[in-house]
Amino acid sequence: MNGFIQVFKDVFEDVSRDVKVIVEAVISKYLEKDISERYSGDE
Amino acid sequence: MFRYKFRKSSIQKILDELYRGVVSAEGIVSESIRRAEGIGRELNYFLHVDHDLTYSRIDKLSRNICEGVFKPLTCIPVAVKDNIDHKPFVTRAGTPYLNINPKMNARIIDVLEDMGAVSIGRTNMHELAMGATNINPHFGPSRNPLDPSRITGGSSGGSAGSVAVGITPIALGTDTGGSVRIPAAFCGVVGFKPTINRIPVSGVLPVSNTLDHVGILAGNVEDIIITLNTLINGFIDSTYSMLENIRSRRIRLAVIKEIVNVSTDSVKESFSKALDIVRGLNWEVDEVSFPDFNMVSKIRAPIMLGEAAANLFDIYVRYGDRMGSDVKYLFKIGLSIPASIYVMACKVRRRWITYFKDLFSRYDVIATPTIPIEPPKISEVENIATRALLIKNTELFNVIGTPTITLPAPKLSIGLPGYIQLTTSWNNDELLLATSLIYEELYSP
Repeated sequence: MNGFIQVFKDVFEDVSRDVKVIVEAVISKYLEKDISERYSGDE
Repeated sequence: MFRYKFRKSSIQKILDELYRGVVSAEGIVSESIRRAEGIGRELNYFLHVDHDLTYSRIDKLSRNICEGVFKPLTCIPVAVKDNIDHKPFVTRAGTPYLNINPKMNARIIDVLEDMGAVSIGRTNMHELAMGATNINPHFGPSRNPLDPSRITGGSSGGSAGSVAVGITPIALGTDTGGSVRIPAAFCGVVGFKPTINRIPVSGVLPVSNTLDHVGILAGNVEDIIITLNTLINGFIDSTYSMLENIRSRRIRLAVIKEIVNVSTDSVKESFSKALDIVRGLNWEVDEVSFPDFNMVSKIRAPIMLGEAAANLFDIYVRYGDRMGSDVKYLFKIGLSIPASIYVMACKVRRRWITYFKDLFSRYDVIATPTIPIEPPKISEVENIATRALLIKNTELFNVIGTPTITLPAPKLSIGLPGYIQLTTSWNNDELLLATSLIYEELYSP
């Protein structure tokens, strides 16, 4: 299990910049609708 | 054999010749294997060409033919992508490190073999189906049949090449972001992915449960319909019934302007000429908008990469050091995506499905260029921006799961075939293929 956790530790630093871009884009798109719409049936 | 007279079908032609005794079962398959080991090897389309199993199948099929038993794909050679399980071959998914001994065949292999098809080998692909160039760091790139200095595109590049140079009339591929349609387009053939899950993905090494499709590549639309008919009962009848229906009415076709706008001038010109062809039929062609188009890659990334990193985690842990740098990097991103972001991306995907449901209430078909750029030179695709452009127009239709096809279009300025991508609403695969038949009647290279 420690080996598996080490895998995650190793990868985070390498890709943090690209992941940040994805995270910001997804959040901005997700929050375009207000909370009542986000909880509507289509979601 | 078939109720319909197919005009372009290579399958029909082979079956006719077999039935009339012009060719033998062994002759058909020997020629296919000879070409796979000749031009197929030269252009790097096959990772393994099979002799033993193929010829034992031919013995059995020849006995059936002697007894008058003909099936819809009797002796039709098929090329199979290396990530689709087919006993007794190992599934390696374009890697030198995987050696999966499948316990059973993929469902599509069972069906095609039951219908008489003969798989002649396993095709070269982008490593683990996680890329669109088909530049495989372990086995080398597959080369474009029309200009070997250029890529075939991928990840089903070997399958597309096999069809393009006439090794097999049909080939199997998989499509998670455009992996059937991109190489089909670059190689000048037809590439089809059905509505999500309409062809079962069981027995395919998974990348993304949400986005994976099995697809078919062929030299013409008729061969795709004939192949689908073996999987979906009555598919030929329902498609030709749809064809009669749409001949008598005006097809409403939507062009998504944001997708056209990102294309090079040469791609735009080819696409515009393809639209002129259907305008000649009095189809209604409207420009529509999908304002979120530039967000598609960002929303798809957490879904595809997150699911791939989970599905293939043990492969990454064991073999990450042997992976190509591009694939390894995608795994790292997938492992770093927060679960909350994955869930948000899935919810945005649901919104887009609703958006397109509304669009399909007003239009029968959506048309776009399949790829915004010309096939790059093999030496040019190290550039990450170029790699991202390859899937830019195709990945949307994996995210929403609609049936989608690429067809050849008038030539690009570099002299290679252009490409048009058509899509219809979910489970309207028959409408898509009927529309494609009409287009193909008017234009084929």
